[in-house]
Amino acid sequence: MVSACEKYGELMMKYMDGRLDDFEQMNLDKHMEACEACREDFAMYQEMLASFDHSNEEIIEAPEGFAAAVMEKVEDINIYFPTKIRNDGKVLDSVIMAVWGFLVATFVMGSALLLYNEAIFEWLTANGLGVIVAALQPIVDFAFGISSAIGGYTSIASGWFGTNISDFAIIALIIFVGLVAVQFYMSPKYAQVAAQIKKRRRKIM
Amino acid sequence: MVNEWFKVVTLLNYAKMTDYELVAACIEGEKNSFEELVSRYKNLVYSVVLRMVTDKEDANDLAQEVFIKIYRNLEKYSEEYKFSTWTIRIATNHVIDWRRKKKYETVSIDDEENTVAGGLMANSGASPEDEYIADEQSRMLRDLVAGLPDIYRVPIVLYHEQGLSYQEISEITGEPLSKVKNRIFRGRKLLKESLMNLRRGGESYGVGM
Ligand SMILES: [Zn+2]
Repeated sequence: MVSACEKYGELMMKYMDGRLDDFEQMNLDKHMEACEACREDFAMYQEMLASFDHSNEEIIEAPEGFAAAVMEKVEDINIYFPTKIRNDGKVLDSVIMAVWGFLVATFVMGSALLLYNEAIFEWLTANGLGVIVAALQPIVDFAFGISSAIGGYTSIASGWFGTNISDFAIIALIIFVGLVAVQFYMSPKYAQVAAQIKKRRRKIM
Repeated sequence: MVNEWFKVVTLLNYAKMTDYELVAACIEGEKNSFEELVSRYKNLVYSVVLRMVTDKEDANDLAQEVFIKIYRNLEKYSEEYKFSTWTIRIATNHVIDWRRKKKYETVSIDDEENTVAGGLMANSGASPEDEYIADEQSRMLRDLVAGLPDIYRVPIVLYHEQGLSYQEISEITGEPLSKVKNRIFRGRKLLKESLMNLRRGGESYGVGM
């Protein structure tokens, strides 16, 4: 009889895993009608499962300020990771950042000059910065020269912009384009770094 | 101002990055990227730890230590495992170590029972009657689980309370699937026996092993 009960014990484990099929359930029920020990066992398992389900439903969240507390401790840790690639990363990064910053600044300033050159030049002259106006004038002329050479598309575009979009929207657009550009520049970097670290990891470890 | 702006852009980027990319960024010295990993996995780690130690303050300390351990061992993380799997492995091992150390310190049984009773009192207030009974029952079971030896407690908590599969647990503990199953089956039997002892008004509260 002991070995028979053992078999039904296994079915109870299946029940606990939620994998008991109808046929097995029937067999188990039949046996439990006759066997009090298994009936008692099964009642306990059912109760256990209900309690587990109850605590399973409970959503446990880390206490408030948890991440900040961890980061405070992490700040104090000085650790050298041998798989680190860019040992000179900081220098290289700031060079790239400087170049990138220059490009974005040029783009933003250039856009502003093209759209508002008259207002800007007036302001500069009024503030005694006529030298800069003199230096910038040829560049602006050159840019307009190109645009007319392209065939008036630019003037159509700027005309459309002028009538349909407010100044504020244009400034917002310029900033948005700048942001997207920076995002775009920064995104793929980590994926590449991750791939490189993975390779190095295989070599070292 | 530019720095602030860059920080915002960087944080936005971290949110989009995969776990492994964040690990890479940490290795490259960007400590801030670790914060994103912490916020992704803090609830998981905390709940696993809390379910094994039952005391909230202990759980908070231990969960923080787990993340420090994770940070120090970031290089050992390999992409073939899910980051969550690796994290739970470190968490369970850390709790096991902590318990082993704690065994050397003498803890009075009265104190332990007081905390359990205190916890019951604190939560009993507003909940409806049957909800209370269910809470009390699962708390009782949790105490029994806490009394199990580690080899049974870890898989039982992960399977029944954390809802992981046998396969996932096997990856976490590094044991074969069959062994994990046996441990869970044996753990359930031990729990069933101590539940029965409680029902019969038996004196033994924990699982005598
Ligand atoms: Zn039987």
